[in-house]
Amino acid sequence: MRMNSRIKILIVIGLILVAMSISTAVRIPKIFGESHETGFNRMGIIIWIAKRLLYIWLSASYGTEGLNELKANLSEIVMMNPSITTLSNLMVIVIKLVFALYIPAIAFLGFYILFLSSSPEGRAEAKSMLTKLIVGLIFVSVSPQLMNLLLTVSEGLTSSILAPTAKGVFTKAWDTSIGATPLDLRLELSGLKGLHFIATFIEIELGFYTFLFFMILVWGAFIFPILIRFFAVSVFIVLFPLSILLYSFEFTKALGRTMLEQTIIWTFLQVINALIVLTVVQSIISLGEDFMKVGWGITIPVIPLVGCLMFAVAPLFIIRFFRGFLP
Amino acid sequence: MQREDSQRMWNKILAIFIILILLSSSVSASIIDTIWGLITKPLKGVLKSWEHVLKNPKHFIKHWGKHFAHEELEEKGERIRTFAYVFLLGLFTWTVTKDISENINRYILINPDPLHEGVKSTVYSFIHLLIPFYVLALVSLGAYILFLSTSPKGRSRAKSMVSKLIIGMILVTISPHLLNFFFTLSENVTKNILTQGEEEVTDAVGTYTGVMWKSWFLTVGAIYGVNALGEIVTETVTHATGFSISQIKKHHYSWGTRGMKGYWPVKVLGTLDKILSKLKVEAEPGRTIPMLMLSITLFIGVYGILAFRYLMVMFFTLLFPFTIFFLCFDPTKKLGGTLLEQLLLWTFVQEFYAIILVAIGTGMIMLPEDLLGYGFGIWPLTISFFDLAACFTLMLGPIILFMLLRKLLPPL
Repeated sequence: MRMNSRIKILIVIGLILVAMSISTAVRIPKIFGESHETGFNRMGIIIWIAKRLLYIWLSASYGTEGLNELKANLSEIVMMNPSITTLSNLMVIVIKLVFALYIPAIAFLGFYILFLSSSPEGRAEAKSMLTKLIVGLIFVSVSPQLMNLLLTVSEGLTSSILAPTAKGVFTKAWDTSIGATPLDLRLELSGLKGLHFIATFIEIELGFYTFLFFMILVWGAFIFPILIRFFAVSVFIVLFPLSILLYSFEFTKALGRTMLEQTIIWTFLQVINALIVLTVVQSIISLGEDFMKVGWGITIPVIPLVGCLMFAVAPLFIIRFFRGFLP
Repeated sequence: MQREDSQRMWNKILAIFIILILLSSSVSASIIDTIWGLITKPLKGVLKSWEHVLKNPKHFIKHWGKHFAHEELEEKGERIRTFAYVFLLGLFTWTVTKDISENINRYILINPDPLHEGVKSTVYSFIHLLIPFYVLALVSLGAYILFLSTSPKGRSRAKSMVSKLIIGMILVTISPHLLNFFFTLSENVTKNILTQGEEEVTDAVGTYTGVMWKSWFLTVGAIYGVNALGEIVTETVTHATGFSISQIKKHHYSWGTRGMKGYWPVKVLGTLDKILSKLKVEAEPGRTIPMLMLSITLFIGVYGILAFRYLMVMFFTLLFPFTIFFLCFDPTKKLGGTLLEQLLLWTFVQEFYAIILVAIGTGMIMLPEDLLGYGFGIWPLTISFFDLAACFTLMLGPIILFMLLRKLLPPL
């Protein structure tokens, strides 16, 4: 519905511009005459302004197109998880493959006990490895349920964190960072939209290369890590049985640990995202809206802006630093 | 020392030459007159024109307005656009430098208040969230003691874990107060560093604001520089000689002929005007994007890091109950250790920032004076390499220290 109305407005503006261009073309000699006599070309100015207004309207709409959807469905997007039932077919294939891999692993351990391990200590170790493998086998067979449990815990924690959050405050952080122009039918010029508006009137390239990019980044930095997490979790769900096998087999434990850790980190990243929402909200509430607001006339709200961009950076820190927690 | 000697020698040579020129009987009065005329005539002309302007400001504005009104539309637009750009960028630079000079200590010292109503209620809601985890941990430990642990060593280990969990429970309930104490401690240390090196901090902030302003000056220079030089020469020629510029342009190239009756200043300045008018460039704000990027980088480098630090400290403040729980439960001890380490490090960034500010200030004071101006650009539009390096140290220093001290806690 919104799209249709926008297209209609776009068509109307386009028609006005075409009409203006035609009228200019028809009146060219006269206008040129006027221009030389008075040094003033009304149509030229109008077209110059209209072009920029159209560009600002289009680019700002383009730059904030996904933001409304994001604001309306913030909780749903943060709590989005891949469905285990949809991925179960793929998981079954991997489980079958893992079961097939268990045969050479157990056979290898048998050979190790029989021929290679001469000391009683070594034999005891090999036997404990066998126990681990068998426990791993049980976990592999219930891996879809295990993964489901992990996702349910993660979702539960996320919803508990997001529930008391004043989501309105967070969406307001987006609104403050993005700002508004008279083209949004509001009598104000603020935030990145305001800066883009002025920069475009100075030079279109200036607005395009600087503030339009930031405008997309403010909400793009939120949505892209969430989508990347979604796909990464899907991959780790499918590989989960293999991770269990690798972790339960002593010789491949290091690789299995990394894979399992990554599965856990990527799964619980949604809790981190919910926590970031809460962090930004609490920071804005406790510091007040005027803290670190730089500028005169059009101000740059630093805390909401950095808070929005935090979604792109903080998960990287988590993935980088929170490793090696499994035994 | 050697430098001073050579400077002294050059001064002497120069003095001797001046005396020789002045005293020499072979120097004709006409040459002195010409040189004197070259200096005084343009000066008198310019002063006269400015006197006229100062006496009749209305006339001047009217004249300038008329001139502007008769310009082509594109030229008008260009003038307005470039002026707006330079003005707004200047305004931005002014607000940023003013804000940083006034509030840098406040921005460095600020920490989340764990006893703030909103923060406290969130932390307590997390403590409620932790209850099932504590129940699960205690039940699993009980099951371990009853059914799995066969050795007395394992049982005693499990029992010590129970006592740790109980201590953890007590710590979790007072976690906002614990954090408040820690933040106060960190703030006081930082305040001490900043107070001890007050002069150095002012110097470092001055360096930062100086580079911000120089970036703006470079922008202005890049937009108006060459054109302004041309304008100044044109104005000087017009006012100094009393001839209109069209007259000069018509005659100045006639070196050696009788154009302008061999009047030297006209010929010199007229030629200069011709060269400069050919050098005239379009004042396009788009061409100053590198300078704009420098300003934006400097802005993000300081404000972004300080704001990001605050948000990260708030993040780990909210997570603190979980940190204590993870630390007190053996299977999740490593995770708890990393969380605590991160909280400590992000809090200590304020100390790192204060130390770096003082270090930069001290470094700038210690630098040899003749090296301070060493940089790029033509005077007065120069940025010293030392100033630029100081700014980048201010931006990257805390991050580098953060990365270096990553293994702050002993392995758990």
